[in-house]
Amino acid sequence: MPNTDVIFKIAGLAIIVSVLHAVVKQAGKEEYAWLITLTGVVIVLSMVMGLVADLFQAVKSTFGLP
Amino acid sequence: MDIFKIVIWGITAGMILLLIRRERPELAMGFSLVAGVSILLAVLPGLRTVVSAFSDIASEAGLGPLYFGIILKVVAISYIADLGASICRDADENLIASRIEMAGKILILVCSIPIIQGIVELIRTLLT
Repeated sequence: MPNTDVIFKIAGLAIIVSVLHAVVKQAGKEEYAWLITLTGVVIVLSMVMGLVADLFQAVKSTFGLP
Repeated sequence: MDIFKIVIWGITAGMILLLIRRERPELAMGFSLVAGVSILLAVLPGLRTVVSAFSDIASEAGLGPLYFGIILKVVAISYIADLGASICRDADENLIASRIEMAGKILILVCSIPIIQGIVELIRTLLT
């Protein structure tokens, strides 16, 4: 199966973000916890976008669209 | 067999997704998007042979390449719109999902205008 690495990367990132979030929250820094979540979302989005662009290219070439 | 790989892949992704969604629902959306997109990417090369076979049949049947291209375009639009709408619905964003579906319908209507014009033209030539 293709893209196995991307999906496990995202799963690992989610676990790391959860742990960091919990640690920072325990330290009483709510605003940094929110920032960590935002960073995680941005990193995941940048990974996802490349894959979605691949899918769109594949659909375009499959159906012969300009 | 491809289907075994895809089913195992989907079950694994679903299990990990259950784990992630409880803690980080916003990362779970990206995760499910990657899982769905990679499944679609795995089956697209098979679809390519189907499309070429259908285009052979269409050209043998004397169907113009214009109409067949429109059909392919409509299929591609519905494929992409369904992907986006189901991802948004999965994240409980029903409004965005229904707007994506609406946009897909409108784009399909725009694409199929030449066919409607062809039908009207045919009726006109039959009547006169």
